[in-house]
Amino acid sequence: MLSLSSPFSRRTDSSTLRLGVLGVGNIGMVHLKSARAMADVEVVAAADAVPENRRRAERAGVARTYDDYAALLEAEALDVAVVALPPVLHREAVERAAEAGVDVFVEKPLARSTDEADRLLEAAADGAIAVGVDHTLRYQPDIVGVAEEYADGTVGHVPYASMTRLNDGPLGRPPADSAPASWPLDPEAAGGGSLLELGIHCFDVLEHLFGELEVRSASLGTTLEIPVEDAATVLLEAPETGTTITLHCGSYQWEELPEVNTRLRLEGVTGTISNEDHLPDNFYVDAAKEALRNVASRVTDDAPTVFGPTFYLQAHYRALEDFCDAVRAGESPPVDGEDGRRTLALAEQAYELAAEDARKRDREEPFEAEADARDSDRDGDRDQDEAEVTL
Amino acid sequence: MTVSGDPTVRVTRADGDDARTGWTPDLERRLDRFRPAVADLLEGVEIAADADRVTILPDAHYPFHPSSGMVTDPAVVGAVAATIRREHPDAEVSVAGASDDRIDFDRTAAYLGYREALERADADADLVDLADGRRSLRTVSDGDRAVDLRIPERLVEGGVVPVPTLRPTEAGTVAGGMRAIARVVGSGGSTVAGPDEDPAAVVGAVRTIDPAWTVVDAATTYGGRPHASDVLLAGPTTAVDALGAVLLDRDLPADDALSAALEGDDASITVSPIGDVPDLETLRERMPDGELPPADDTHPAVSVAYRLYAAVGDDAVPPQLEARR
Repeated sequence: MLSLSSPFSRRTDSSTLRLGVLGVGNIGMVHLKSARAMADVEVVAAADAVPENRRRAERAGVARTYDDYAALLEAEALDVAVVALPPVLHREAVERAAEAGVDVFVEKPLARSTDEADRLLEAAADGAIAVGVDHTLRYQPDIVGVAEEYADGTVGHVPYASMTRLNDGPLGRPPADSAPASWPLDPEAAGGGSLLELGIHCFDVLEHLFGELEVRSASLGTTLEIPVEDAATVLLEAPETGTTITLHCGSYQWEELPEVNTRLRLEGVTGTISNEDHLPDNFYVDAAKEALRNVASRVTDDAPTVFGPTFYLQAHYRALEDFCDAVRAGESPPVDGEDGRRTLALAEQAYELAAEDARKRDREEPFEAEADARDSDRDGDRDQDEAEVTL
Repeated sequence: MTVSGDPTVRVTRADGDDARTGWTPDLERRLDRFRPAVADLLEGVEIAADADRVTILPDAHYPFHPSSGMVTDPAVVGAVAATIRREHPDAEVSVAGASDDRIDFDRTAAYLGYREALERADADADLVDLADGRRSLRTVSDGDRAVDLRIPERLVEGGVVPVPTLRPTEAGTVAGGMRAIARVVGSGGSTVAGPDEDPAAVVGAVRTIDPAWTVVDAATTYGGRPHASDVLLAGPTTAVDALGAVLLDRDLPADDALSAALEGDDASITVSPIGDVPDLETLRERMPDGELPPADDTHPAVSVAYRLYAAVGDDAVPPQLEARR
């Protein structure tokens, strides 16, 4: 087990953190926007291989962009780099950042495997840099609400919990008028499917709530002929709290924002804690209220809530803000590399158990005789009256 | 086959001997349901008189799940291909789509499982990307106006069978056989199909290609939500599309291309049920008649309003709420 016990030293002396964003696709742009909204953070550069992404970053006010993240790390004096590249590039990017002495905030999953995560964390330890992981879900207001209720003991002992996280993944939903990214469906680039993309967030939330988890069994599936799983179901135990947990995640369900299908239910002795009780009744009304509150804060001198009207994006802001605060204070990040590695270990156990179960089923499956050819005698069925449709 | 006279649309139920209807992920079971149904629908229909090449055009424009009703079930396509193969053992039978700027046809076909479906159906059919092949330039007239079309040569030379699913287009019209053809025909810098389609180009493309019959996979339809109706339809393309429009409760006169294609034909079509099929009124009542989900794109007005709010409220503008440029 690796640990980063020594205080981290920053590369620049200013109280303002100089931050670069490596990868400004969808989530990278969210981090970029978040960072630009933070006091004492200066987004000095961004890198992306895709020209349109670089142009978006420039339009968002980034002074310098690079088509290669390594070039950015070489050229810029940074305190922090946000690694929002495809997982296949995480290790290499962290190694480069470690050579440059730049702390990193890495998009989940931390790596494609625990082996890769170990090498990544070794490089970080050698470079004495901090590693934070963007496990956003625990920052989401509705999940925070569940955690607070649970901590308050509002339902007593929780023998059972269930968590579901579904979206439409890289293929999206109709009208689907843009090209789907190819790397999330490439096991080499992504390391896996829904379990690494969505399940890993859930593992983090569940460990955050219930302590160390153990995987009991798992099942994976694909709804289309795609190279990675788009559905995963995992049975977990939390020995510390005596809670049995079922987790289901998948990227097969159409998602229509602002509705997001994340469900977390804690079944306790005296009742249920549900994240749905902590969601706005109406996202649009809530958005309007938050917007008014932020506008009023200009008069009252209160700090505005960044991404106030957009419920879910607040979590991304808070996760990065927490990381930056820790870096500024020379402390270990609140969600660090070890947390990221542990979620990967759980995913790996789930993959192994699912594969083992599939092998067992293959062995046990009885030989099925070819079904008799169905000879539905449909001749002579045209005995209904014809109908005429007037157009 | 040209639509004229008394167009008849055949309708049959595709439940085979299966007690459980609706979507099943079991390809073999779906093939068992669709094979006899398709054979009934196409019995006695001349698909490709002298052609040594038949091209099937399914709704395989994007890898949506077939149980959504947004694309044709590859098992239906396999059943159609196998039926044609039986009738035309020496013909070159192909299932075609066209790569576009969103996604390659090969990738869509792979994700939808076309190779396995065609193999299990014993159809001996190839997959063809029409974006790669030669195109024939044709000019069709619309009154005094000439419309240039770029039509894949194989669709001009051989028999063509569109196999769409029953769903609306983004513009709200019935997708159907006409739009399945329009999607693979070019005009100007894009395809003929689309929200701003030129009705003359759509009709011109259909009349030039002159599809044999259209088979509609209405086993699962989409109209704001999916519906498992378990029926298949087949008939002359415009007649089938008209019936599809009726079932989805579309306003026919508002569909310029379909209205233009039907012009001069009888104002009625004959529906011929095969087997135990619910009557049309029942089918129509059960089918949802809604539209596609809204696009994720932020309306420019919303984007401007959010930017204004963000400036006043000292907030950040999420990338998702920025207008695309």
